[in-house]
Amino acid sequence: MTCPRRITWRCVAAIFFFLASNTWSDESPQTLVPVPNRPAAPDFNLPDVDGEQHRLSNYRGKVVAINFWATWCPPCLREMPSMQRLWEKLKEKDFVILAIDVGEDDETVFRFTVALDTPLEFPLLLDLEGKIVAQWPVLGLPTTFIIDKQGRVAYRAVGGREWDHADFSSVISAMINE
Amino acid sequence: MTTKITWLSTYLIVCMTAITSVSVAADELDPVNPARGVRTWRWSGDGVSLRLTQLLPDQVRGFYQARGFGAAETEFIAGACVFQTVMKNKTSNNPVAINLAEWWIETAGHKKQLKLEHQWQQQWERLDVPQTARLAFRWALFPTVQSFAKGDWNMGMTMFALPPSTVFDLHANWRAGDQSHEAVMRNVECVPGRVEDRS
Repeated sequence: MTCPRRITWRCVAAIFFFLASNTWSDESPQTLVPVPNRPAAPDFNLPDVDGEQHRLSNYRGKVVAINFWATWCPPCLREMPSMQRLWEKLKEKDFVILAIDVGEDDETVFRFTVALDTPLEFPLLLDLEGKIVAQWPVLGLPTTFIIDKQGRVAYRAVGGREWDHADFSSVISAMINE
Repeated sequence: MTTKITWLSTYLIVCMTAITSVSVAADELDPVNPARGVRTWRWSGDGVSLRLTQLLPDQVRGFYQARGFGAAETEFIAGACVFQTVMKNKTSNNPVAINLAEWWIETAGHKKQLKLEHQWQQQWERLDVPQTARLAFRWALFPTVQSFAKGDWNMGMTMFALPPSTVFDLHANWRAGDQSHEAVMRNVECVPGRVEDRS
């Protein structure tokens, strides 16, 4: 990891969080929690790091994974490569991942993606002022929601997951075929 | 005879209920990690695990300065006895509900509550801390109220607002279904203020 002088503090912070997260490895079950009655997902219209706008309701007819994250959040970083692998597995089907960064600008997110070993190909959206995350039932980062083809919140996962776990792709594939 | 058996059964059920709802105390102290110079305390039981890892003042300064806090506020946070806290619902089928307002610490014979996010935010508002910094603060903190389904977990900072090197017992409570639980983590220590104190 290279640390240009002007972002030394950010690098220090990033290193500290990586170190602090070293012991996450005690096994946790890979679960998705069904959301009762599948409420309608709050719509949003957010830019990605390339400036392209993404409106959630425009993805109606596809299964959408909405992931709230931040570059300084260790479990968020940890799960990103597995999210990319899930994306690669299902991107030819009716499946989309929208990863919404909370409270950071495009420069910060861009620097983060450049430093990653695994290039992230799904859209990274920016909720700079935290207005969108406030409309969702999110208490901590990362939190991920799986939205069904009708735009309803079907599942949620609080905390990091190994998204390329077979259980997740089979749940999502079943939703695609609903 | 039947009456006696019924009473005995009732007594046993009451005892079993009392056993499952009573505080379960266990703590395990990791040795100091020489690479990091920080210590970790762990607790595990009732399908839940809890971990506290000391955060060094320099680490905390680095994080908050990069997110728009001024030097004075950063210094204040860095000295607030900060831990990286991780809680997981590993196997409990009932959602695990916590409220940090119900957690408390005991040090030198005194009981004290944690300094919670809303109290910090009131302070940042008075000090005109920028909104972006306050947003980062909110998301970096271990949330005050949370519910963990099986497999859910979260990580965030807890701030105990105690002087460096203070030793305390943490009483962490939660509810799972209609049962109350408590983890007691003993002899948790705020990180020493000076580098030479950490040897």
